[in-house]
Amino acid sequence: MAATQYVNVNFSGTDSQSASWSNLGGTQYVFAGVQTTDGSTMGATLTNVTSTGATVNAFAPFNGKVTLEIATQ
Amino acid sequence: MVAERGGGLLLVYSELMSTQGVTSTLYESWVTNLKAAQGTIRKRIMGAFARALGDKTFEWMVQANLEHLPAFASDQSVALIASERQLDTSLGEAPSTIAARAPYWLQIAKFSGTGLGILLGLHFSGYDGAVLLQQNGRALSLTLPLPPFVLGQAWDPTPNLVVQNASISDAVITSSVTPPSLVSAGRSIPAITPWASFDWNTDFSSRFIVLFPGGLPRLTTYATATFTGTEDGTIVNPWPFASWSVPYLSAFVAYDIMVGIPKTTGTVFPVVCSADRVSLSGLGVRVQSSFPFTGSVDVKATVAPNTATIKSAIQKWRPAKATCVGVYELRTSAGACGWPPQKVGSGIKSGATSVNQLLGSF
Repeated sequence: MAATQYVNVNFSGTDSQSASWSNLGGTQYVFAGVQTTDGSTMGATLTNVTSTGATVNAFAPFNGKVTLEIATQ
Repeated sequence: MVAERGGGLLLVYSELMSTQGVTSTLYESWVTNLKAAQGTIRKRIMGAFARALGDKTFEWMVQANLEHLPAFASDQSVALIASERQLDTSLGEAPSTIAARAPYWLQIAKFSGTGLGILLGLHFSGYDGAVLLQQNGRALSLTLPLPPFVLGQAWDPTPNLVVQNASISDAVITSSVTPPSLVSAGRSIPAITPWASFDWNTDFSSRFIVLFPGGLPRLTTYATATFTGTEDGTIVNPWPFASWSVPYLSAFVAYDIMVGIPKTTGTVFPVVCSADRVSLSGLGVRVQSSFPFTGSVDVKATVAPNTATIKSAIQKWRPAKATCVGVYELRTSAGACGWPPQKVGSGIKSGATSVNQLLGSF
């Protein structure tokens, strides 16, 4: 059963934040969008990924948020 | 001695050839049981040669003889037969289904140049739910399922064709091509006449549009590319290939690719990934990274119906004189151009967001 959930992770001058979500079951696919308050570009990666969470690592400290999209087929 | 053996071979083969479908180990058995003195190893060697050269050849000959018959043909031959007979086939359609339809290609082809033919072409191409709306106010659709293809029986889908009136215009529709003038009353369509108003050209009525009232399905498919720390896009270490969770075939095209956030293990690197669109296919896509890393990245593709397939089916089956004004999908029940039937003015109704044009006039 296809399902999607969105999780916002706020960054305030930091470069690492933890994120958690509900386990949708099956194979979960993770996508992300980064929004900075000053409009600059920022990238991020995930580490310590489990079925219910991960650590979001920005390329550098910034202010803004990362929106994670977790989806199943 | 050689001549006798040759005669024996011919005899055995003439027997084999008359026994279609029998497991062909007879030749191997005959060779290995010759009374001539043969050691165990010689028997094995001769037996292997016999099987490869004789029995296998026989099996291939029998199959080759059947390849032109769809019911017995291999999948590759069924595909060729379908192409040769210009059969429309749908996304992922089973070869057995195509093979069952193949003998009826002439019965299907006789609907060429008709509205029913267009609907059949779309159906066999995998696009159900179409309404063919003629400017003269007739709306054609197809009820499913179609009659099964049963060998020896005629196939007639005409009872599945539903013909309805389009919307009824509550006012006279005056032709923009031949309007009233001082010397002529012009041409017009009387009020209370079923009519599909594509524009104000009422003089040229060999026109139609194809509507998909329920819209056409979009498919979202996912994939994961795994990086082992060595991939750098070279021939030796190519970018990893991410295989779609739901493959799609050429009847659909991916119009949106989204690469997910890299999931790394070990040291955290600011790595960026992107899809290599050159490698994009219905099976998957290669994902490239800014530098080698260990981890994975997810990819999402949104896949839409291939409008080229829809256009091809309509072009193939429509009457040569008829013009397709366009192909639309209706995302809501708002309707367009006189469908669903109701009293309307002309043109696509307001609320255009409910109408998505897939193809223009052709």
